Amino acid sequence: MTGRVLRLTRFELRKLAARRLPVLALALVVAIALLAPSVGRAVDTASSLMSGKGAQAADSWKNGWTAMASAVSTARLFVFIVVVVLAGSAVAEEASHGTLKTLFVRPVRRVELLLAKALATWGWGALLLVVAVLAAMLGAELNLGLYDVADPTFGITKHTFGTMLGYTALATVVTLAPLAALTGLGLLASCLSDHPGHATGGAIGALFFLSGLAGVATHPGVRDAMFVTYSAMPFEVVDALANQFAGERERLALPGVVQAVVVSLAWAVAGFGGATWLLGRRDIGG
Amino acid sequence: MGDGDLVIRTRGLTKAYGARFAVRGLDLEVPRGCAFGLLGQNGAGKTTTIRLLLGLVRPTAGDALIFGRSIAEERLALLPRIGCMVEGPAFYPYLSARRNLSWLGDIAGGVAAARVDECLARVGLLDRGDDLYRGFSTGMRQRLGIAAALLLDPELVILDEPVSGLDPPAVLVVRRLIRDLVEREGKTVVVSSHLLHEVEVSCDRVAVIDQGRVVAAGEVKALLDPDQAWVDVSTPDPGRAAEVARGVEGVRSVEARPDGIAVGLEAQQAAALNRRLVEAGLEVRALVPRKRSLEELFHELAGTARVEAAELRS
Repeated sequence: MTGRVLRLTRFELRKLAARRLPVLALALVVAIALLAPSVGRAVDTASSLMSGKGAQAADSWKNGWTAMASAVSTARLFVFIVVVVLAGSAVAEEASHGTLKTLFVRPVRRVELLLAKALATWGWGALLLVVAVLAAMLGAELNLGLYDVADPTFGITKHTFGTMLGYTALATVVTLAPLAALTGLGLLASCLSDHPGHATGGAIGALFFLSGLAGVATHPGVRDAMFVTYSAMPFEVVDALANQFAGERERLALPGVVQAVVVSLAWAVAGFGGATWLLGRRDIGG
Repeated sequence: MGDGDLVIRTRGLTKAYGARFAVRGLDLEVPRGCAFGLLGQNGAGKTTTIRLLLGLVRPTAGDALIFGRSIAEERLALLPRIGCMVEGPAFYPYLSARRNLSWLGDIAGGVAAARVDECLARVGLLDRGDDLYRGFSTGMRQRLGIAAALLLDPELVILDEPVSGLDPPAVLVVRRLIRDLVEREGKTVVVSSHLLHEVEVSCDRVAVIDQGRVVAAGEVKALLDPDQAWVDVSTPDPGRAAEVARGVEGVRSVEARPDGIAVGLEAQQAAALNRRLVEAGLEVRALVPRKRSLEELFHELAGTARVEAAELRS
């Protein structure tokens, strides 16, 4: 089974690389993450000038790490939308084009194909995220420089370069968990409809609904049980640390990370399980 | 015929969608090393039967044995031995023909580039192998579907309407291919078609399917029994000629045509038919005996089956 899943995953990744949308998304993510620090700086400067504070005022509390975190947050939204579109269309598009039967007359199990699609989509999303982080770091380095985070007034070092790099890496890894949940949600939607547009729309709608629910929920238990709660959190913490809010560090401590990963993976497993159940019951080509 | 000689054997195979039966109690036996035709009109249940044989849909009742093993239970072990094209070809439009075949082959463990080219060459697509699938005509897509079915050198090849959408030269290529697969390579080929002539010229055996049931099965030659003949009668009064013909012993069916009638009857009754028509004062301009075509056989069998089904229901 492992061999078949690996072969199928390679097949799915090759298909993604051969298509325009995923490759275009990669280019756009690089552009967004790379240019966001420059654009942000320009906007801040313009804003300061317009308010009569002078060009330098905008940079007094900003540093490369805040710019990087902000750029990744922007690019992350785009990455999440790309992943939900890819996962949402993964099965529905095959069903709509008839290639699902082309695949299922080969010696593969349905669950194996779904697993391969999940791994390939999540893997592509992970690639986009890592590329976004690297591009954002490059953009931040070119604009503001990535140094130790120091108090601008007293010049005291709050976080070293190494510490910030470590938190950035940890935030990237933790963000992969909600990305997996999103993949599961997209696959579930993809198995609910043979129409890729409907499936993708459903997945995006579900994502917005859950985000809205997490946003308006007054009970912390509800928010904590939503994977979307943990999608923005890791880089918010990096941003907060770069802004010298040391207390935010707790959110990326072990319990917080474990909670984010466990909740997200539970959503991923639930979505994948639902998709497997739906695809398993389906008559192919009927 | 022993079970070991059968490549496909179904017993009571049934598929119902709600109250509608697509396949109803289908009993089918396909011997090894022949070209077997599944013949039926559109909606007769041919494609559903093929989907059931491949495990793409789950039967409501019954089972299908391929090489003596249940497809429902041993699908993964059986599929590498089966090559198929179901309901027309479907490939990735953004990949070339060669890449489609090569990558699909990789799923099953890998296929050599030479084998991909060999399959493309067999269907006349070798020089178009690097063209994107989205640019292919209907006929080229169909041929690529057949190439994909042959990719893993299967023992059993199942082709659903393989000549649909093909131009005459391509039809000849496919017919020759089917015969080559059977005669030179010893494979078993199942061909579904609503094109009666195709089954007649390509297949050794045939099962006629109507409303999800097999209404006749056997060797194509035996089903076209020379004793079960048709006679085309040219006469200026087809209506009256039909009335008279229906009263002749041994006549199975009569079809009125603009310039006469076509009469299905036992071959030795042709003279009696001629005599009765002349005695009735009808002008018989020509009386041409001919073999029963598969199309006429199909209409006869399908009609009989419907009458029997209606009688059973009542």
